[in-house]
Amino acid sequence: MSDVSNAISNQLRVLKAVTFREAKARIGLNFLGVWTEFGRLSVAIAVFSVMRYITSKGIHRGMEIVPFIATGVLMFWIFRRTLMLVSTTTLSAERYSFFPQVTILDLAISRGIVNIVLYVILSFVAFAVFMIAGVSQPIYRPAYVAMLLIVSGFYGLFAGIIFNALCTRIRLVRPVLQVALRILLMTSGVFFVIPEIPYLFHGFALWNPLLHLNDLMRQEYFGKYKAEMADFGYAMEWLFWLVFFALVSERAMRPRVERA
Amino acid sequence: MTVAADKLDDAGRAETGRMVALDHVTVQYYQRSRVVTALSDVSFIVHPGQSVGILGTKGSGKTTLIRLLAKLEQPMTGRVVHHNMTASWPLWARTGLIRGMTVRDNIRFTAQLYGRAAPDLIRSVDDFAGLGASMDRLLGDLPASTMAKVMFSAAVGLDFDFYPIDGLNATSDLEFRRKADETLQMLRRRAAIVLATGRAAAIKQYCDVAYVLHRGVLTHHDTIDKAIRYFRTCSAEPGEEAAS
Repeated sequence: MSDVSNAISNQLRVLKAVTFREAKARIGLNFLGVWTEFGRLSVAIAVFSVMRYITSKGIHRGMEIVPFIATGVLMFWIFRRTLMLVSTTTLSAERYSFFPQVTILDLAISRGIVNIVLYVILSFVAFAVFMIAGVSQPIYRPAYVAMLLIVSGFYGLFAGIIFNALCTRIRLVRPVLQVALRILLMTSGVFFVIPEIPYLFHGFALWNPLLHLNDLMRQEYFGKYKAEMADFGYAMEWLFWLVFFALVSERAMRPRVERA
Repeated sequence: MTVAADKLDDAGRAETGRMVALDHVTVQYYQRSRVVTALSDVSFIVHPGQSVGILGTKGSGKTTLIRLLAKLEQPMTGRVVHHNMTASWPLWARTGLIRGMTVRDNIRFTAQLYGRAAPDLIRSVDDFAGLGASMDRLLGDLPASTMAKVMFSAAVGLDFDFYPIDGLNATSDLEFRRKADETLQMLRRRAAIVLATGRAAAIKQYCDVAYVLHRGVLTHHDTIDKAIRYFRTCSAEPGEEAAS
């Protein structure tokens, strides 16, 4: 076996092992971690749906209100939770100190994968529950919906790697990140679609790739909504640059992060 | 005298192609507003099948040395070389596994990490440590010595080429200690070991070569008896405390 293929197989082996350990730690005994996450999401979807129902109607631009809110919440939560988990990787790295082959990057990627898979499963369970309860139609294109959720998760993963590096160097970054996430929640289309934004603000609002993802999500979930102003290419461009800056910042900060 | 490792590459690689070595390694810590030197310009080579004993008093730098050999720390200056030899974590380690996971899952993780079949390693650890039903309990619910037993058994089951050992007997389980003693004798025949301890008798029992580590300086001695005599001289110095 050549050195390159040997290195790749070693890397995959480490990732598989760390992903297993992270999944076990995340899910916890008796699936307690999954139930906690499911409960947290259910409360968020219920509260936001009720608020939306009271302020408008049960149908929003032809889309049922519960799945409308749920698609936005799940899309944003998969991003936010992945980002928060990955950005604290350094704080958990001590648990792997006896296994020098496990790097901070391995741990960050594994945490991201575990969270993304968990959220995609939870999302489809929630969608199935909505259909059974009669508050939602069947998903128009499930594979596209899954893909958009995964892209949002990848945003969280790579942004998390960047913030993990930054937080190690600048402590002020973490509280700033919390504020930024609250602003993003309000501006990423969790509660609205792009045509509802006043035209004056389109130029500012459309820079946010999560807004594009959310609009596309509604298109792929409901089928009857057309995301005419959302651009999947723009969203992928963001992903490309996030991957690039994540790898650069991880490499640049690695000695400091490993000492932390 | 400190062993020079200027011809590290020639000495190790040319002879067997396999070795673990410290090459002019210095480690310093910043403690209570002053710099403490844990290891000062330490060099030595361990070849396959060699059993090296490091005698040292408490605070002499033994744990730092073992952590370097296990690749858990990086030296400030100098280098640690593992050439074609896989290194275990320190035997008898009481950390490293997750207390919130079952013993079985912890072993499964370790097996996956080192590319071994998980069922084989689980069986090997279970046979060695005799954990039985405890295999499916959370590690945190079991006595603290269980982690040391699992780490010891897993390290032996993974067949490393080199075992760094920081002290002996981290459990009061006499049956396990007897098995562990037998296993260490077996390891001496098939792998390299470095045992760092303050017990001269253990060095005589398990090692072929002895060094004395005193205040961060490593000295080599021609025979184990000479090393022990020097160690006793060092231990008698004011302010020295015997290690366990």
